[in-house]
Amino acid sequence: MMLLDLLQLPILAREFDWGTVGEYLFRDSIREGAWRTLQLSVLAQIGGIILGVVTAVPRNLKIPVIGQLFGLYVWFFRGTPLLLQLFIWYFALPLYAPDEIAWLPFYDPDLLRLSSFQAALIGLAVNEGAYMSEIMRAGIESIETGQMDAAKSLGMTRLQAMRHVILPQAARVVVPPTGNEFNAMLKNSSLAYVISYQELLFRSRAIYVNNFKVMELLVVASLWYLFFTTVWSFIQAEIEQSLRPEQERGGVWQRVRRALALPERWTAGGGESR
Amino acid sequence: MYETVRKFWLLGLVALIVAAFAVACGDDDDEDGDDGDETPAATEPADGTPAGGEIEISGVPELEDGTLTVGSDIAYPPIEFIDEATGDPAGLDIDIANALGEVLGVEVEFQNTVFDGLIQELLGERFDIIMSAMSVNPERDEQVDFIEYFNAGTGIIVEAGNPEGIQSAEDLCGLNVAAQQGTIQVDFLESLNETCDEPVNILQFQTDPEAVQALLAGQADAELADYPVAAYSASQNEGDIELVPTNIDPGPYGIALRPDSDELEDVLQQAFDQIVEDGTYDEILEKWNLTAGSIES
Repeated sequence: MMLLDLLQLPILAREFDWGTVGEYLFRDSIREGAWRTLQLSVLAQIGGIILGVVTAVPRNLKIPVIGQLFGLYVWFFRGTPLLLQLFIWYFALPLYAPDEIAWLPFYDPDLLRLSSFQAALIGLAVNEGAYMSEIMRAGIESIETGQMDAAKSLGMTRLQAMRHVILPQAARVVVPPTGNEFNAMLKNSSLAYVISYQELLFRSRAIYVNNFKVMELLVVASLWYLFFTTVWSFIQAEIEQSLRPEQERGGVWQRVRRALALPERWTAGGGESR
Repeated sequence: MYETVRKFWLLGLVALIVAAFAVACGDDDDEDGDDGDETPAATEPADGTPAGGEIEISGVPELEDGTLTVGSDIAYPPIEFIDEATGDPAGLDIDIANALGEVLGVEVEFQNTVFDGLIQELLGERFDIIMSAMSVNPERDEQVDFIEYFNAGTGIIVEAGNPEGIQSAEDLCGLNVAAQQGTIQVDFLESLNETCDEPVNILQFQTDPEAVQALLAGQADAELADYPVAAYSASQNEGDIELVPTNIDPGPYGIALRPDSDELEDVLQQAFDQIVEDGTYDEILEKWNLTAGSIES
């Protein structure tokens, strides 16, 4: 980290302590926090994708009642801030849950008292589900109607057509936006700190409230987030590439460029870069 | 094609107008700074000595603009909070700061910010002093200078009826306990954990009211805050929350200043001594029912 001291720009008003960054970058509490961020993000994203698919189909097929209900779900959870939603899951739910429901004998209000992790997971997944629902819906609609007609003419019901014909094709279209969503999820997970979930940001703050090295610890957190998102960019690029077997894979640098969404060649036509 | 181009221009124009409104209406921060030039001349004769007392403030750089800016996390009643009726900050810290300002002949302006950013912002010269029920402790003392002005310990609040039978700190072991992140209450719970058989599950929130919410929602079995604040939370939620009558580790609050604010520290200490002497301090404590925390006792 001494070399990084050379990066002290002479114009800065304060000295930035790279030593502190090095000291805390791999501390147990920070690594634990980073791991929990990853766990939370992955689980919430999977939950969101499932919710997205399940809610998009009835909306697209305009199934009465369920379609509209899911429409309401999407409207509410895309229409309110995620932070607010986390507060509702963690604070409001147990606060307003009735002590008993007469016609529901198995009801136990304690079950609605979600732990920080549970509230964070459910909150993030449900929120993500609303966004994924729109992405899935767009993906489904991008498949030409002829496909549905052809499937029906083969005797499939609309739902069978969805499962065997439409959704598999829509999958390829939704990969880039879904990948983008996961990138966002990795960062959004940091909001869970407000409901006392001890992920990366919470742990970073816990340290700097004691040693007052605010920016240094935030840089520690930033480096971890950058690490996760960069690794994901590469994975996403590989996934996209595998869905496009007809295209040349290229060498290592081609992959790096693709992962970081850099232009392949300055004179490239459209469609190459993400 | 031209239709599309025109639509985009229209959209861009609308977006620009909306953004302009947002900027124009949103940014009130700088307005108060300009008031420096219009400080009531009545309280300051030409040579800079305030009409109110004998304290000379002309050599204090922070007070050259005629304003003492105070950083505070204004969500800690009754020490500092936003008065619902007026929309202005109110509380013990506000009254003491105003009293000091009056003695020195300067305006007092409070800036609301998150508690754990206060010291950084003070050092970054965002304001002149911190008055935010900040307890004096060794870690903070390394960063800032303190003028002690009040005594408070830690109080425990629990669900009305005290179902867990909490009488003292030791009873907290094995329970879920909420506190505000960055406070000495968290430090206290962490050191308590070292002596517990079953550890305390420490839930940390960004403001004290949120920690109290955790108690109300049953997420926590108890909440810790400075004693006067805990007492206030209990009184505001009578029937839902009760105060455990034990005052843990009383210690002083301090007005925090930058280590190089020697002149300001000097005049503030003088002003503080004056309001203690002339009874203003006692009056303020009585108003808020906090005479028990007097620095003189």
